[in-house]
Amino acid sequence: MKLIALLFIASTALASEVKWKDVPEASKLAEQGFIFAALDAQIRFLSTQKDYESSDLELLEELVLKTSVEALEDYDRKVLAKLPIGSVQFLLGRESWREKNTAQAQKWLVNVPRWHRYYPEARFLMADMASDAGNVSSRESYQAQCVEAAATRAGEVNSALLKRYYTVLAEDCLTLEARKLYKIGKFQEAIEAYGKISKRAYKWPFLLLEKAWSYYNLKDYNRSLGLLVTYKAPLMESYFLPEAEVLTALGYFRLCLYDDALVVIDQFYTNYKPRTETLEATLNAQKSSQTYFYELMALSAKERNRLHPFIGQLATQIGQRPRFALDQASLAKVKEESNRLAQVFENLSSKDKARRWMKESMAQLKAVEENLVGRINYHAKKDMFAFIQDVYSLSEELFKVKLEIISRKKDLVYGSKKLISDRGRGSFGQVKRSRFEAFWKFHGAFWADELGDFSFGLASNCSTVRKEEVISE
Amino acid sequence: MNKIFLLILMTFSAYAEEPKVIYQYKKYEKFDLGDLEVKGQLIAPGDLSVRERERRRFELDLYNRADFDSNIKHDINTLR
Repeated sequence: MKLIALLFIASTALASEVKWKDVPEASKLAEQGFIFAALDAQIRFLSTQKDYESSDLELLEELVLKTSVEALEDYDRKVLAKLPIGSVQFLLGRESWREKNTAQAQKWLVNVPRWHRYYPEARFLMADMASDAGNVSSRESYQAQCVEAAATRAGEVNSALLKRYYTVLAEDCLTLEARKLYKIGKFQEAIEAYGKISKRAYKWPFLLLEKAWSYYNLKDYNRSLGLLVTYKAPLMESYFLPEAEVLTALGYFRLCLYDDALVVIDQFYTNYKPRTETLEATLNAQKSSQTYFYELMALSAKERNRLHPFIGQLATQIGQRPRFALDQASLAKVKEESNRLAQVFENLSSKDKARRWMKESMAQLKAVEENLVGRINYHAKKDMFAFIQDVYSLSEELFKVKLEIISRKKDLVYGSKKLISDRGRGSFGQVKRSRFEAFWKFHGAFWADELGDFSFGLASNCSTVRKEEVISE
Repeated sequence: MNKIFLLILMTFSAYAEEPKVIYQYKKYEKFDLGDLEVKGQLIAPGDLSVRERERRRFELDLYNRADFDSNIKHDINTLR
């Protein structure tokens, strides 16, 4: 910490001693550690040129990689489109992908070179577009390139942030295959594809639900319920997914364990719904704020939990995403640079001609800072409101399950029948497993990796028997 | 003129011919159903039976996940 402070004081002193010219020089700014200001200066310089020197483009690429591609978001697209560097092509491709302009996105993304930092992500976007277009072979090829490049780089980079970014990216590309298999109804193959993702992966807790859906569609309700019960483990406390409750109720329903399904439904209505309503009231009061959700993310876990338990858990989930960590890191960098530049500006004499462009650079840094705060605020807000929306729509789905249970119970009464319920709560005989799966009964044994491999052993209760006649004497 | 005369004549003759009819109904009649014989073929089934069939049930369209496309888009958007 002391070292950082010393470096900061040294670089500030050094920067104040530099004789700045009337026009900003990107290379000089970069040398002094003003990378955001240097990036701005370089773009302004290049926008006035007709032909570009390769060294100028190299400097621009280096600056973008140091600042992050998001620092380019405020610039005019027409200016950026003329700059033939991988980072700009990636940014424009991603913009087109978001606008669903596939042809344009493809045109930009295909140019991102193999050595480039954004190459794996560009391939991921191309795999997604190929998949949407129904082109399986292209999707598989782009996906394999994404996994290979991202996994290799995760092992090469030193920065913890970048390592995480590449690791998550490789996981995302692997998941794409499983999800596409699920979509075309190849549930068994999808389960095998999900199995390729390590239990230590950041995404793994979220993928449990998707795997449980695959088992549900294969009618292996016991395994589906077993995977879902993993969310009840203390280790998974921050992963609370309302959809998992719906799938649990559906699993019990398909096994005709109506009372168990009703318990889950009632818990949802007594636990999730009222809490969501208070969460909505809390967040609605701040929904037009440009900083509230950003400030919320900056609070400690304890403070967030005090505001609302769901806010604490949602913020933990959001905070684990690479985007949040990258945005926070960029924000810290730009704030620090902004302060240093302001200090240099104050030390310039009032007649110094560098004051003019430095003022413009400071304004640009402020805009980048505001953009980053706005991004963090927007994404946190979007995720929290999406959660609220999910709870409401899923509660409707649960209501349908409840109606169906009531209807079936009524049919049993009218038909003088009852469910065959004279049995134990479960048995090992009901557990299905493949020949590759070892079966541990956990009698006096404990395995740390048991999470995510549970299975229930419930027999289906769907057979009916006639009710015995009751003769009153 | 002739026509009027003919009409008057027909009216008077109608009055003159009206008979006095007295209708009498049977006060009691007995049917011996056992003694009745009906000739014909029996085409109705000998005994009536109703085959019990499963009542058609209409199940609600319960929730199922068709795909995870929205999750893919979400993953891309949360990468950076």
